[in-house]
Amino acid sequence: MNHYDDLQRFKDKTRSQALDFKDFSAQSHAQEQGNWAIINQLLPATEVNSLAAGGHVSLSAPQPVTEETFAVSELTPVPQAQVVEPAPAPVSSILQGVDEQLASTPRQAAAIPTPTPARVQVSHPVTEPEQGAVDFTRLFAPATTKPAPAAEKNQPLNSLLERIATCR
Amino acid sequence: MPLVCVCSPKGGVGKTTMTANLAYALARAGSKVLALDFDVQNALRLHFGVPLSDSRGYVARAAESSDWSQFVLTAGGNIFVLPYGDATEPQRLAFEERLTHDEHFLTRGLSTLLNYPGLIIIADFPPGPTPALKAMSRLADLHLVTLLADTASLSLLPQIENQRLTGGVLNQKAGHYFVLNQSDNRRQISRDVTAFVENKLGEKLLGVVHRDESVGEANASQQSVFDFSPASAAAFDIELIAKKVAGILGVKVGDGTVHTLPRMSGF
Amino acid sequence: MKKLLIILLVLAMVPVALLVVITPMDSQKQYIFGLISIGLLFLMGFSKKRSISVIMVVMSLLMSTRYMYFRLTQTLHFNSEIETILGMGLFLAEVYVWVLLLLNYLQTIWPLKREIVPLPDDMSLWPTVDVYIPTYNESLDVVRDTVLAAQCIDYPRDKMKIYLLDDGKRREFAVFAADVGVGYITRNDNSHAKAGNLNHAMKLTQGELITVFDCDHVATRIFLQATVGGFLKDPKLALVQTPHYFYSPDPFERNLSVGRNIPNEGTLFYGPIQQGNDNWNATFFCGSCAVIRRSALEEIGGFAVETVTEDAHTALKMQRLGWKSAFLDIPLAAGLATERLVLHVIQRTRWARGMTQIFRLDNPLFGRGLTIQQRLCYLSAMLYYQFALPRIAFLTAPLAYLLFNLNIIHSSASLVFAYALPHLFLAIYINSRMNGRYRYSFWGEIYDLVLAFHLVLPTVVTMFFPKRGKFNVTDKGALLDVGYFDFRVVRPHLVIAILLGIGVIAGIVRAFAHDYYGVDPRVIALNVGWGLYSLIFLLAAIAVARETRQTRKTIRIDVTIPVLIHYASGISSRSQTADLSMGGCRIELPDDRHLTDEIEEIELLLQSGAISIPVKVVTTDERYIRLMFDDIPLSRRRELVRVVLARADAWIQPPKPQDNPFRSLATIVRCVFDLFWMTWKTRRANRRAQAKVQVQEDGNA
Repeated sequence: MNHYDDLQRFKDKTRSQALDFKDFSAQSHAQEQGNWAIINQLLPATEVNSLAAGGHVSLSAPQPVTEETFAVSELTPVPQAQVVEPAPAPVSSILQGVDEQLASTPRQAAAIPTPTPARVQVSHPVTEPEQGAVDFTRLFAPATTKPAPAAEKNQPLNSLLERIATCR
Repeated sequence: MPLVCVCSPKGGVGKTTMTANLAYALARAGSKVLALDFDVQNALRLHFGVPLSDSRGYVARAAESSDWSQFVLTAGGNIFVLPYGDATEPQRLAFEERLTHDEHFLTRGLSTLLNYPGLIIIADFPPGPTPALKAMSRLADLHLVTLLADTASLSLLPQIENQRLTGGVLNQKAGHYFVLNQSDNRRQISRDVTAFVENKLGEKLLGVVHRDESVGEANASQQSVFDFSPASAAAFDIELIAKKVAGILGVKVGDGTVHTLPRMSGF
Repeated sequence: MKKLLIILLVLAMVPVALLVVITPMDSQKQYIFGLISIGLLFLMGFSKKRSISVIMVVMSLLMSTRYMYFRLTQTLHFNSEIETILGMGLFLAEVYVWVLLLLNYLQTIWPLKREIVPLPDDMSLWPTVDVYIPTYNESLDVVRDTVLAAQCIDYPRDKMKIYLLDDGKRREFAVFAADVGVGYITRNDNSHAKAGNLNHAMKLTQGELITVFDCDHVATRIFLQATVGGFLKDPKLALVQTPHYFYSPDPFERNLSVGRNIPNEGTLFYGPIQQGNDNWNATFFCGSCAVIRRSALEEIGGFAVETVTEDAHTALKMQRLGWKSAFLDIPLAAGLATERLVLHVIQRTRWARGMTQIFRLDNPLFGRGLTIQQRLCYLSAMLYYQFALPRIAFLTAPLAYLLFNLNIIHSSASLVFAYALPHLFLAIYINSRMNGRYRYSFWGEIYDLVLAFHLVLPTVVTMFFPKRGKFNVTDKGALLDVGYFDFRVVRPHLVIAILLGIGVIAGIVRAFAHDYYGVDPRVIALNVGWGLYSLIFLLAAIAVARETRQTRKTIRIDVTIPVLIHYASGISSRSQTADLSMGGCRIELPDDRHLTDEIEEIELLLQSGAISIPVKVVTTDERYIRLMFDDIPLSRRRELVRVVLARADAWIQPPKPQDNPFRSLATIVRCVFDLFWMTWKTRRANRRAQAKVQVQEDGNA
């Protein structure tokens, strides 16, 4: 026996095999099912699904980047081998202070394990803006700080509003 | 005669384990079964007790030999395995090149095995679209698409519907069915994905295998899960799937005697 | 054409029947006549057809009427006032039995075996249903599972609304209703008890159909889909009633040693009787496990409040207005039986009082709107509850002769016996044939005897003063933690039993010395036999008062469901349950893994969905392991209810084996024997335990 099929047994015991009882147990399961983005997108297309498409409410669905995102201007020096994400920026500024202190003792600087070279290199470009004319932190800042084309303006807001509308 | 392809758009879903255990289940029911490995990982043989250091297989000499049945290994009983074997990069590339461009490469090499009466061949493939899968799909009686009960696997479901696995209809004979692995009712995602898949695939879902450490432990012991833990929940589910496979293939289940496997020996 | 033939046949039979009834015979001829009729009966008994049963019924009625005619014309001569009073009393009791026999035959001669009417495929046509669960002072433990089971009923969510009607206005119930997502209704007063509660809820809800569940009646998921179809097909259908099935034993089943081998006391009513009623469109509402059409209820002004059995009265009122009713003989819900004998007595007293009230206040024999068959069916039910005095009369009749030497039947013993034999034999045989799977022979006597002394006053008082009588709710769900003998409830029985015992002994003594006493040994034999017969049944009734300890609050159900065992190591094994309750389960052990690997959860596998529950091990042996469920949140508990209690086939059992009157009598004798045997055993065990304690105390001193 695979699973206990009580509807079938009922039909057998009451000799009512001709009757077609509808099973609503999925109804209660549906209530407890989580509202998962991936599953929702695989459901047959309904109004609800098109609104719930995409990830978390707070993030907009990724859009094509603008031309300027990876553009190289003649003012910039050779870009660093390591690409730094905006997020560690505040960290590197803390570490920048640490590294400056450590740099004063080159022995200790050399003893710093491998992960830190990335940061050591970062501290250099970060300190540069103080001296150089080009602001590298600006160069790799998130796309939102760039002026967005008119079409894009509505997109994040739209999907955000729609997602709010579907929230219970 | 019957040929079953176990494939998946996703990796790490348990295709190889499923292939091996299905082979065991069908063999226990009385049929002669050959487990055929198309995956360079060469992991299928380990389920049948082949030592890790054993490098025998068919791919290394596939180009020069016309009959690959000479590379089949057996431990007695009615279960056989044709391992991928250890192959150098040039050998692997040559194999794939022949698969891609020579229409009869596969049928020639496997003709003895394909024509052996009553031998069920279950083939394991690497994930995603591969030349091997494409080549074998023309010949296969049945495809079993394996997925895990998570959203990573689920998200690839459209790929199968859009014929991205082979570029055409997956299976021309009995069609393709699905098997869902590692379903755990105690975990929300697993439960939801299982419910979704049951709902969406209906009859096309051949079976759901419960998550059960026994499977991993059986693999580690290089045994079939049936021998390792007869009470295993996953073993029950796999046996059920094997019965359905046998039904679809029209294979008459044997007298039910179990053939034990002592040591492995070369053919 | 066929009707005409039947009428002609009946007309032709009338003079024959008259002859059979009236012709006087001497005892020898009567014996032969009786034996011939019994012989004929046995011959006919080979055929199981219902038409043969009809013929048998006619025969039985003829023989019984013959007996009554004999009694009326030949035996009512008395020598003194006291004999007259007692003799007439006995005769009236026999008239009562004869009327009841006739009515009962009419009621059950052709039971209607209804089929489920399917609902249409198009669910938009399905009617809306309100589910009422009235409660007053029952504990939340009992009501909780009822509400959860109601939520498991397979019906479109937007068409079914569940309401908890709380006359106790308890906060925890309100919180529970909110947690679980059902309606909660209270009212300002508690007038008219349950009926008033239901009427109040009717004002606040709108469903086309109303379903009522007592607070301990857990429904199966198939309940509505099995009952609602009829309402769509027949617009005049007002009521579909389903059986009250009990998943816990009633006092008879629990306290008597043979209790579990006999059909439950309610099976006769919720089987042949209601099916018979159904044939004549006289099914009545039983207060729970039924679906009623709102418009029909509104037409009669809501649930009836004039009597304490508001359910039967409601159905009567609806039928008077031409509404139809139906009975579906499939257990679709189950509840708790009365736990103790004293509670059973209280419940039946209320029913007896209520039916008597209806008899007085809304007599079915009078008034418009009912067919003759409906009137007779209701009359049968109402007259049944007047059994107290007649039963006592039969019980004590032999004492008149044995103790006081009074002759209350003026006839020779052999003649009386000759007339009575076919009368009794045929009635027992035919009842066994028709209802043998639902009620074993002679057990009705015991059920009635247990109640007889308690019902005398209530029924008589209510017959004369129908407006008197408080509604006392039957207690549900209290646990009996220690066994005891309820002397209080069987005091009158004990008194009569002792008297009967003395009488029998006195009779035997007199029989041995009959020359000295100058009495007819056959008269003594008859009276002693009758006295013994009464004594046996009385003792069996007394045995029911031996309350046994109720060991668990949740009821265990034997069922085999596939189950996964999840161990702490991540291994999952597959096995099956041996039994299951809301508190735990027992599983067949697939191997020895549990000795080293802790079991964390088990997963019950139903076709409609699986449920995982954390568990703790209680006990284990070589074959089985018993597990206890940990606390689980309400939503999971609902799934557990779905598996344990709300399974569609949960309460459908095969009927008990066919009755055999001789075997039934032997079973009853065994009950009586076990009463003495068990009492002696417990006394001996108690004495031993007491002696042990005494020794310990002495040792400590």
